[in-house]
Amino acid sequence: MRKLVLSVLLSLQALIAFSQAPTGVTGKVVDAKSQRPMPNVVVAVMNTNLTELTDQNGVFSFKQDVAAGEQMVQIKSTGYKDQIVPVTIVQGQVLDIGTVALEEDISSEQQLSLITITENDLGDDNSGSENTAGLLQATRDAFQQAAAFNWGQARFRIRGLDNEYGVTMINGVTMNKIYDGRPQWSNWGGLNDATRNQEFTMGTAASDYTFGSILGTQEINTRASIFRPGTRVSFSGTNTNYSWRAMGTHASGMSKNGWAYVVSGSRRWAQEGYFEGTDYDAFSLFASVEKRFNEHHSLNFTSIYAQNSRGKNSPNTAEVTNLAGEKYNSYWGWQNGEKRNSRDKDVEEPINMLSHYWKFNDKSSLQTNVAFQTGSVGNSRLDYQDARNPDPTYYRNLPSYFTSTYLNGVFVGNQEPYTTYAQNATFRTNRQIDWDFLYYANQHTEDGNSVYVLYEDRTDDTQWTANSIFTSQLSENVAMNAGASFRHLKSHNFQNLLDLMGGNFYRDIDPFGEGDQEQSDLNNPNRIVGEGDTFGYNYNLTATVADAFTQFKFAYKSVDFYMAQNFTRSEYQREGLYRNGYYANDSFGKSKSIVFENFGFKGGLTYKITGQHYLVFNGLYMTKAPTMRNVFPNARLNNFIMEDAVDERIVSADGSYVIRTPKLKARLTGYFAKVKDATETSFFFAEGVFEDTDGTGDNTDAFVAETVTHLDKKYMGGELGLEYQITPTIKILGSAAYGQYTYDNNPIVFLNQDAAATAENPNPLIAYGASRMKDYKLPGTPQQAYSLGLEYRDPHFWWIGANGNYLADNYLDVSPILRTDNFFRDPQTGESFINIDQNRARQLLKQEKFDNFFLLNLTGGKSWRIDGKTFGFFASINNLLDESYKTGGFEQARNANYRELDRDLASGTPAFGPKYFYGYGRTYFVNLYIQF
Amino acid sequence: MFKLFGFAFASAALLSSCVSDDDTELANYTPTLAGTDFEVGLYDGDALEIQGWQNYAEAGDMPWKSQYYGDNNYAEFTAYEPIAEDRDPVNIGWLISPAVNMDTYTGEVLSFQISQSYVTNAANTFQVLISTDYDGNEANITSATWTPLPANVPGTSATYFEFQDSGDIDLSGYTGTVHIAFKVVGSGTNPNLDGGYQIDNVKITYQN
Repeated sequence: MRKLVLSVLLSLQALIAFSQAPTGVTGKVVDAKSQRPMPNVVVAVMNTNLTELTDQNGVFSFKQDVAAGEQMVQIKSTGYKDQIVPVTIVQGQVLDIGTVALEEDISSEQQLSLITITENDLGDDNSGSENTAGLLQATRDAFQQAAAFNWGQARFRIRGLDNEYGVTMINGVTMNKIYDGRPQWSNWGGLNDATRNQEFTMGTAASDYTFGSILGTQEINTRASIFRPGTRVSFSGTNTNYSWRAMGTHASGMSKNGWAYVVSGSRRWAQEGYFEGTDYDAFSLFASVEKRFNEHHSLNFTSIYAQNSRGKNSPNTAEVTNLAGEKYNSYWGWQNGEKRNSRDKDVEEPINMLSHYWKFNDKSSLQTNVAFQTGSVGNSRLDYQDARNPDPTYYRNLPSYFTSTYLNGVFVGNQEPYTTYAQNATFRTNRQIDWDFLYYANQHTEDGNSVYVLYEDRTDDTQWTANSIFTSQLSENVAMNAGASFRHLKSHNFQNLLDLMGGNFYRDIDPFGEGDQEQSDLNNPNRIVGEGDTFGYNYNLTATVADAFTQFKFAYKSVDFYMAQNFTRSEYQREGLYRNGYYANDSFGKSKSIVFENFGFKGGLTYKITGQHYLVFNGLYMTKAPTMRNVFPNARLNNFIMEDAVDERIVSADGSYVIRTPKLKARLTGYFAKVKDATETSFFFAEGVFEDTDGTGDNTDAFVAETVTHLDKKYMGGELGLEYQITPTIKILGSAAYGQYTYDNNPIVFLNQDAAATAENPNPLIAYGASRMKDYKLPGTPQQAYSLGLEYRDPHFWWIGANGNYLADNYLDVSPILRTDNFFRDPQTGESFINIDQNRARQLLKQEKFDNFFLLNLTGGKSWRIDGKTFGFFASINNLLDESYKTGGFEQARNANYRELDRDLASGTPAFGPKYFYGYGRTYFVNLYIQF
Repeated sequence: MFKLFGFAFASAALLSSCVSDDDTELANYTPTLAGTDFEVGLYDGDALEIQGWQNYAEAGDMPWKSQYYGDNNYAEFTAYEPIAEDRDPVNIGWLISPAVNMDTYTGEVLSFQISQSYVTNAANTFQVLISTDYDGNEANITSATWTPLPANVPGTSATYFEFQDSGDIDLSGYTGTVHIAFKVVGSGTNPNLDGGYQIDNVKITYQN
């Protein structure tokens, strides 16, 4: 948009100044394959303000202000490879460089296979969205491409940051969820064609649409008129999280009477994805219609409907993987000859957006959007009452439970009868959920009630967003962006009973509680619930977030710089719809409303050493409100507000050296970022977390919330990306990331144990004090990554590429609670254990570093032009060598102490070892398409 | 220009704050110079065998034993023997700590927990002793010089099996190598002298 304004502005100047002798450059841009002229291609004389769009005939011409001498003309268009043409401008002449052919960008094909990564959750919540690969879909930077396409499968995160520190937008409307600050990729999953117009800014660099954060911004533009007219139909096969995908897209282009539209639809499905029992079913529709009323006004309506249902896969301990393999998934079981997954994730949150484009004049424009999104996200799981835990990997079903036995403090796990018990452990013969048993149990209860049910944790969000973005070229050298947005979210959260599984009803009680504590809703006690009923917990969260930003950009001959500032006000409130038995006085009705006011400043400058060498610096300071997830750590049950969840303070700086020549493009960046006072809440179903009071182990498990507050994190490192065109057909690509991401202080840990609630202690939030997290590594990403690739593009429209990648320094997620003083406290004396062996303690608490690994990927494609239609295919093989590697994992957050952990590990077969996620082995992706 | 400064700062930070995998610190705990909580992997009723400790019967056949109750292991010495013919007329049991170097730290304090069972006569004694000249050789136990230490020992009217704190016993005046001993005197054949003593959580702490 801004470029359009700029170009018109510049051509205007050209008109005014036509009396001077023209000095410049002209040319024509065509599609390399069809040889058709390409309109609306961005052409720029590098290191100047000269930018133009090609006209209907693909022609551009700069006839003014082009300085004589060596210059570079850059030609770029979405979906095509950039071209840089070196020219020598002669005073008083307009150089005609003739026809420039743009080749399709192969990375746009690679995007198709990328989305498969971002939809894999690690854990129960929306953690798949922590993956930054999805953010980088449209990037052209060699490093970022490696990060997305080569390292994305290994869950590499750019600069170690999770998506909470990035901003993803559609038409300038922020899509990060207010609840956890992360985008829900599934909301537009499968619509690759329709979301391929993207702009990405790295780190804190200036975006025209938002102030942003420290990871970067992604802006997806769905305005109908910018889509290249045509139809594209594709069909893909893969063995990742789905098997098949069909997609069709048609874009009309702008008609004479001012209408343009784009429609797209896709379906993806799998009976079983890469991991056992992971079924997949997704259906997506997209429509965008634009009406251009006149030169000043356009209206665009975008509607995105993406429905996604898939079975998840479990993280597993080393013991389970050894017995059952890396693809093993404990979440499914056979039922009537079919694999039924108990942990489905269903997402259906359609987005509707009305955008008004108002061009005041050639210099200024205003874009205003109103967006409405409503729908639901459900995560299913099994619940049970006074019955055996149905999880086949429940710790009592595993051999290690027996072989790690201590009797009266004596290790007996290597003796009879425990060795025999271990040989006969249930898991050895029953590795999957026994649906038939669960149905049988439900059909044979005394009262006809179900003791096992399938339910889902549901979040039904309704969000309104309104925003305006103003852009103006204030003077030749100064441009301004300003924006304001308002978001209102109402989020209804509840447990929804999906399946009574053969029983007649379910009791809405918490069998762990005593007396009133059993009641999930004291206002409506002892309820009997059926399928489709709400039970367990039921509450609303409301949030109102308003923010505004301004940004000024200055462009001069040797220096460009910008500065921006923003202000955000967030207001959160919880409203309990149940009066919970544990928290009779603090659960029903509205909580107090809590307000956070935040601001940020940033700036940066580009120093142009020469036309081909630049230095770029960026710096930022901002505060960030804690997310709702952290402010209401026990939102399911009560209105408790974690007062310790305060504003995060974020500081970030980076500096880069950039080379852009026709043959060599390179970037070397050093960065540093620090996040202070972060809050992290994790919810988990902890096994064996409480004292085994009755010897059965039945009551030792609980759903707990662990909140870590005042957590500081430090991110620093360097990035190198380069691509070199060895010959016109062969390109070499190299990238390296060396980072160090650490916890930088000792945060405070709280554990919420509802089951520990008593009349005397109605709010069982237990403060565990400081956790020695300082200098532990941040988990979730390899901290080192290297890539080297070669690409060959044959003039006859086929190409192949290969890249080798080495990833290192990925760490296990350590449990903060194990690193508090409590770890060394003998529960019998309340004092430290006697004779603590410091070396043993260090050994027990040492952070596991996963094995480094090497990934070899191949890609290739070819296209044909027949009767005006383009036929093509794209194929990739990832992890050709079928290397096995861990992408993540976590210590089981059991409330263990020094002695327990010492014994569990000393047994040689720990019952509560860490759980791991594994990466895909060898996978392929094949895509066939027709374009006309 | 502050960005240049920022870059310089970032570069400096990069160089100066590299973290290795072993830079983490442990949480706080009270370190001990010596001691045991008797959680040493022995069954209920086993004679105590703890690395470095000596379990010596000066008279009679009764050793100090490991006991387990209420998810807790502790040590017990009793002259009582259920089988009448196996009873000894005199039982003297020593439980002696490994050598403790008193020169490494200052402010050493000994503490432990103690209870009694069926002790009805003051002659059925428990003593905590210290020696500066015991050489660790079992043959020299009785010839070494043992000085009683002041401890809060349960009397004949104390509730059976109810642990009480010994109190903090100041050892800061000692230097060189010492041994701590727990010594019980009783009689298996005399019902007035066949009570037992239980100890747990023996530790010597220090000021760093």
